[in-house]
Amino acid sequence: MNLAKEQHLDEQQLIQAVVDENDLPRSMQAHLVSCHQCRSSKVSFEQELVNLGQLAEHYSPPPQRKIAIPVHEARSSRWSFLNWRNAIGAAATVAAILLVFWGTTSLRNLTEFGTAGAPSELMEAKRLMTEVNMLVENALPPLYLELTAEYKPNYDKEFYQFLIPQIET
Amino acid sequence: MASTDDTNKTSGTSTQLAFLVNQAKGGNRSAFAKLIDQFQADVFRMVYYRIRSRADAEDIAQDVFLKAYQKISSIKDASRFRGWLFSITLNRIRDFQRKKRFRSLFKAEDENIESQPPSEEGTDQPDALNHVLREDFWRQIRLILNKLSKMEREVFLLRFFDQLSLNEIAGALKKNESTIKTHLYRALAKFKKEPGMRQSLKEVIQ
Repeated sequence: MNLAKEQHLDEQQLIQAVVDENDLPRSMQAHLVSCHQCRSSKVSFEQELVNLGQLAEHYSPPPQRKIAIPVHEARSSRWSFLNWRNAIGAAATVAAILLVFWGTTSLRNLTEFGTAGAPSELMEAKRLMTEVNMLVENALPPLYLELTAEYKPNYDKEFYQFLIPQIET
Repeated sequence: MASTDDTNKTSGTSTQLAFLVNQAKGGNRSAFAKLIDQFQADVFRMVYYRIRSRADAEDIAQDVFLKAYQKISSIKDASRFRGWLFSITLNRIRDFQRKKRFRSLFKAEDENIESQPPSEEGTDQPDALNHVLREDFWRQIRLILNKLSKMEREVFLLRFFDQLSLNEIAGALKKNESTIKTHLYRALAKFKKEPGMRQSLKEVIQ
């Protein structure tokens, strides 16, 4: 009596046989062919799974709605470059290129304007500094200076002599 | 003899399928319409098994075929159309579930897609017993599937509910065949360890 014929498939081997019989060792494959008991166990388990699938199909409703395909959706690949997605893509690319070009040009112009506008900015800064210096000298506005007679005072030598007389020796 | 007949039939079907796919690639609408007739029920069921809502399954199936129609020129091997179509379907289901999960964040109750009860489909059928059996069946299936990991569940469904071959599953999930076998083995081992569940399933079947 062949040993392989006596040794039946265990549960793991039975499952393995259901998954793929060719993955079993050769001796077990040979046993499965000759042993009625193992064969029927395998077939029974397979049948259980087949029934499961059939019952799932039985308990599923049939589709009622018909599938609709658009009229001009699919074209052969040689025309595919003309479809709307590609057209939009091409338009977007052109727009992006124009945008980059315009952006670069604007930036260059801005830089040039900045350089050309420098003397006027310098003059403005000088004027501002003069004003600041005047304010440092006297912070009061001209009107108040006039009221206090501090604006363009016209004092002569006699007045100064009066204020600080010379000491005669 | 029967086996030779089956082989010839399968070969003839795949040749016809490849022919239709190639015609559809060239922009032939009627060839694509024939492909829809051939696969609409499969795609619809595939969605229904995972979402359990007829209306949503029909919307997603429509979306799948629209996508397939737009992208059919990208298929290199016409014989792989079935796997390719199922791959699109799985992606659409994932998108749908993701959106549904996101929407459920803004609702008071937590809507778990997998644990949703079967919707009202079929309640208008006069056969109330059939309706009860259907509900019971899907409840049992849900219990089984909840015991499996995400990948095990997907492979199990693809193999025994959607009737895909191991090779087709590998293609649809973009994994190698040995990975698929490992997940399927684990799923079956867990399924076999639930004798109570299997028994109640058998009762539903009887």
